[in-house]
Amino acid sequence: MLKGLKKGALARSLWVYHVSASPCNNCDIEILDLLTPRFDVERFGLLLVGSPRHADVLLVTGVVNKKVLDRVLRVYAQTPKPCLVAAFGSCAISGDLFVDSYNFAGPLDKHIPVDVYIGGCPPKPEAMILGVVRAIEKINKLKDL
Amino acid sequence: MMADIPQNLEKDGAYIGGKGFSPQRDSEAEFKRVEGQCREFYPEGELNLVRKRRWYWEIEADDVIKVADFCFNKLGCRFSIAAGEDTPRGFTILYHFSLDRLGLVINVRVTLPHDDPQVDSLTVLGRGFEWIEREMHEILGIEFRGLGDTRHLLLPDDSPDDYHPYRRSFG
Amino acid sequence: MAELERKIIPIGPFHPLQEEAEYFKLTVEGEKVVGLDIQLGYMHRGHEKICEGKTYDQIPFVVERICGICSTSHPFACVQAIEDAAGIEIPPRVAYIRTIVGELERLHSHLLWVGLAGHFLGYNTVWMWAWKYREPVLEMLELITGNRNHYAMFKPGGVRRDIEGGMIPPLLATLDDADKKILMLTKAILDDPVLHKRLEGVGVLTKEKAVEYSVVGPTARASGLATDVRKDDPHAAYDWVEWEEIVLHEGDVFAKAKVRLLECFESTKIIRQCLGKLKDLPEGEIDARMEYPPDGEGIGRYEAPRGEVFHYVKGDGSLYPRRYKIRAPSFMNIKSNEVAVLGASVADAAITLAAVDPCYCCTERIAAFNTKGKLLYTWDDLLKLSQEKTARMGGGS
Repeated sequence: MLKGLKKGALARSLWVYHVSASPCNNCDIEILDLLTPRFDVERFGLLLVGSPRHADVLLVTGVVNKKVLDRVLRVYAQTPKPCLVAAFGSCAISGDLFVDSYNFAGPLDKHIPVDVYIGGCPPKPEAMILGVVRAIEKINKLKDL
Repeated sequence: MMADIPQNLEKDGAYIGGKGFSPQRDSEAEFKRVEGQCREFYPEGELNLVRKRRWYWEIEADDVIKVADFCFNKLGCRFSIAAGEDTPRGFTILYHFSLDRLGLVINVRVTLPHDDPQVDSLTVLGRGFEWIEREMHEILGIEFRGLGDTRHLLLPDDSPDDYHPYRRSFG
Repeated sequence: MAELERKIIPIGPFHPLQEEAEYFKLTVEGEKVVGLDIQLGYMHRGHEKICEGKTYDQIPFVVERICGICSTSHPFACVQAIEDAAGIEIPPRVAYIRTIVGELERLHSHLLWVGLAGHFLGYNTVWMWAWKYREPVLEMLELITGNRNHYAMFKPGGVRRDIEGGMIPPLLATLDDADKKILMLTKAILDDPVLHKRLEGVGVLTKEKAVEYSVVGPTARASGLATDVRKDDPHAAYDWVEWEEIVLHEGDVFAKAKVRLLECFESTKIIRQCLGKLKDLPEGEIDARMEYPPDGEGIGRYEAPRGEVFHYVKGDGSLYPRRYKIRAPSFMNIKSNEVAVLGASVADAAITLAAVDPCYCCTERIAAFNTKGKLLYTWDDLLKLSQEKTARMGGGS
């Protein structure tokens, strides 16, 4: 019963830590847009936190390049498990048009396990809300917490 | 609050915003005058007026400070940026100086030999040149004599010394 | 002179990535900032090299993704560089459409900055309002181009979509509404006595230093340099409509904010005039075909919301460019922070560094250290100090 309570609590208030790998800022602005009155995700319990130690979800934007890879891995190591990783935008998912670059270090799921893929360039705020729904569904399906 | 926008004021011949344009911008005489000044200052260079507002000036690498000082301080250009390239003739650096009162871009080109690409640093003229010289140093391997700060700007700090991605021989 | 050293335990949670090299490393002695070290490279993706491997019609899509906020400015400069190299003349309808999209982007970018600046100062209502009034601008862009950001509107020789006659009345209506809201926001900000005290004289960049660092955009125009590519270098429709270039002389953060706010009104003026002129031009003439790839050098410039964007292309007659050089305005502007932030108090550091309008991600990576290299304040601490100072002066909400 306690497990169900934990899961329910998690699903109702996801704390999100935003990791910017090397984005063009569009995805980041769309994430901040969600806090503004038009979309207002705080009413769903979503909160942007300032430290990975408080995070349930890691939202990674941008293409992973060689200088930033270290930081992304360290943030992932510091986030208490279980945590969900969401790759936000096509740069994080696959590298988009930067796959040919000499500074490209590989798509995100080559380095850390990714649970939710939110596609788009940039994903519209509605797409991010759909991503949140998928994340919640995934939490509910978790066998142990 | 909104009433104190300047209205096309000219103070001592300098245009300071407002409606309209710089009064010299469309003056043919002014373009001719600047062209005359350039040719007179450095006749050894090859000045090509490719378009009305795009001039390309080929100069010797040793005279780069002299010509850049002329553009930056004498003509009153703003330094836009510099583009380094690895060409069959050698490494070329194209310095882009923008003369804003005419909307003119004067592109000063120097060519450096492949085996020993060295040129004087323009940081003696101003701090705005530093970052682009650091960038060209790491991506092309060009030596800038007098550039104090040669740390990596864009590439990772642990890149090997001969890692120059924009050289044609790379990759 | 005795060295002041701060021994107070850092405010706020200890930053877990403290050992990480930061973008902006402020050195602090007592209450004053005495040094700034800037490290780049976290955003380097190798755009110029990628462009060398793409054909001329693919390049506008590549450069669009350099920056998401000025996502029209780079394609604008890019197609102008290619047209300069190939010697193509664009039809007038194309000039008006490009100008409209460019000015809409300027509106949304300035409102974005105003919102972020409000947040940094502790005026969270300003943040929410500015971003709420940004939404109609994004809707207008979605109506014209199909997307809120990354519009994919530009191609060498023209634009990819037309503005049809039926779109113009709703655009004009939304523009009128946006004008009223921006006027209200501007009055609230420029007439607030606390903001005057808080921002005037802070982070001053003198005209001599502005010339030495070759800064561009509102950063330069707030320090007395009348440099605006739209006025200086004739392109698109800027010569055919009436508007004013805003130049102020104080060089402080307040002047930079005022330049940006007043530019919003000029933008709506330009858009209205362009929409009016579009009605007289026949629909459909939006493409001057590029018959052959350029063989020669070309330079394209555009005034992005942050300053001059500079693109240089060198073609050799083949489908791929030989060399492509991109310079974003923040490359010149961010370095000027070295002098602008010296002597500022720690509480003012956050807003001074943000006044040149860098990419949002750059502001996340600011931290302050003492002269011995010990971390004193993380970005969250600096934000808190800034917001607390405004609250002490009687402002904020």
